[in-house]
Amino acid sequence: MDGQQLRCLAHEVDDEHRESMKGISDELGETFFGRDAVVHAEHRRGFLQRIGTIGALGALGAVVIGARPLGAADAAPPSAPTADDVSLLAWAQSLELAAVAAYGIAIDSKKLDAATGAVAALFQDHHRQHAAAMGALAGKQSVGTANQAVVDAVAPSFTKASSAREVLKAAYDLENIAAATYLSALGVLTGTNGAAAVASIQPIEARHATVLGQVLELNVGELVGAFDLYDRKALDPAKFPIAGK
Amino acid sequence: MNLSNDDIRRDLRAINQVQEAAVRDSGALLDAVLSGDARLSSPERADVLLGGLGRRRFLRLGGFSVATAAVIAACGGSESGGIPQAGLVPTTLGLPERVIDDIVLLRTASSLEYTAIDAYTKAIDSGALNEVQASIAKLFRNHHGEHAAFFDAATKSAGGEAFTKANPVLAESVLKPVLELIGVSKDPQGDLMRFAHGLENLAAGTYQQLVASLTKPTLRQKAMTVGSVEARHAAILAKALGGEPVVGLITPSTASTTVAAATNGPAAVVIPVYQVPGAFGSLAATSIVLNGTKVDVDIPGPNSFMYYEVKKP
Repeated sequence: MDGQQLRCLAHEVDDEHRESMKGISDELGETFFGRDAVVHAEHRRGFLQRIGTIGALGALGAVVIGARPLGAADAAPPSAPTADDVSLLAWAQSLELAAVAAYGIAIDSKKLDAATGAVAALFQDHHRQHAAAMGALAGKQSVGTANQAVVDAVAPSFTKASSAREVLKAAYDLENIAAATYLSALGVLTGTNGAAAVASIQPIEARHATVLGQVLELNVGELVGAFDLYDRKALDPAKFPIAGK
Repeated sequence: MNLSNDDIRRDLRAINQVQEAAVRDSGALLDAVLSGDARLSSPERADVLLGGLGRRRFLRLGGFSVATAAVIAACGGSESGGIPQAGLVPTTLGLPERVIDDIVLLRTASSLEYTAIDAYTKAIDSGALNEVQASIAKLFRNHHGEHAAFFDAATKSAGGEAFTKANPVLAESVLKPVLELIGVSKDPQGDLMRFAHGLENLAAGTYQQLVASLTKPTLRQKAMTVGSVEARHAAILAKALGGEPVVGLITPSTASTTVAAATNGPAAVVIPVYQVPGAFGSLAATSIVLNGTKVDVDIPGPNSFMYYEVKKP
């Protein structure tokens, strides 16, 4: 390294030094005279937030999501629902509203006692909330009405029920169908937002079915197998289209 | 090196002038802060005295440091062979790069299932469960065994190496302390059932959470064919604990979740149990009462994932 290079580096350092000292002077002035105090605080907060994030990642090491160090990387899926996702989520909303309608029939039948009637009302409310969640994701494609084809398929088992047990059995079957249908949907939903919402609903339908199965005094082996299946019970949207679509 | 002393002196003088000017400003500011100057608010005083570091300031200082380091490194040059130093320099290693991909998530799922198998095995072997409880525990353990094999196979099909042991983080930070608590419990039977219920809730939440991270719809579907079963397990165990069918129904019975307090002792810890704890699956920590102590167990996060470099213990 010759003198020219050293001088050049010294100048670079000097420039950096001057710039940083000028900045510090500016900030001292701001602090001293009260100018931009809020801005200064904002900068600091933002910085600390970023440092917090970096620190959290640093504690773990660098984290890379959805990529592999060697070989083909997993392509990161989109978070927002795709056009196909939206159609399916809108259909799921109509399914949930069909379940709300079915529980309405069960409750109105007056065959359930107070305790099971109260459970049915709460499960109906859960389905109403699920419909709202699916509708929110479906956006403009949201229809807000029960899927009439599904209602036509499941309603007879409720309307023809001659006892509380038969009503509960109809509800048990409906919940298992809903759980299976959501599992089926998970196999085709592309966007993670829709998939995550479905994954938050599906286990609740499975729990509903378990509760109703226990009221029906099914044994544990009948209530749960090693895997929840979706091949036989799941409803096919193509066979139960939303009216007018 | 053909550098004249005059040049160096000139450069140093210039640097020194800037330095002195800045120090004068700092001194004036400190005087104002320490003398109670009314123009400064309390937060401003605190900021100065506590060394508040603005982002711009940090970056500028950072830039200065980097440039200085460049000069120091350059000064070493090829002639000297490096900066003179004494003693041995300790080796420092960078933090490892963590990759979270489908294989890591599938390995984590396997490890979770093996953890559940271990937990149920310890519960069954303890002899504290009654016949019905033990039969449920054995059935659920078998399910977890099938889940583990399922995720092992899925990991291999995705091109990874299956993780066929319990999750070491969960084993050390959850299973071990929980079993120690149960080991000294006055109600080991109830505690084991409560723990099994909490573990199944935790597993259900874990799979629900994985759905948002798995990249392929078929893998998400596979995860939830298992997650759904864990949710059913939890519902069955909640009923066995005397829990209510669904939250919002009636005031829950707390008999199964309350650990009786000693006479004149502290209030008992109460955590209601529901077969259906809400309209949507929860990703919150699972709370369990064990031997009168409330234990919160978080859904496994990245620090519990089974990365490529994590070897089986």
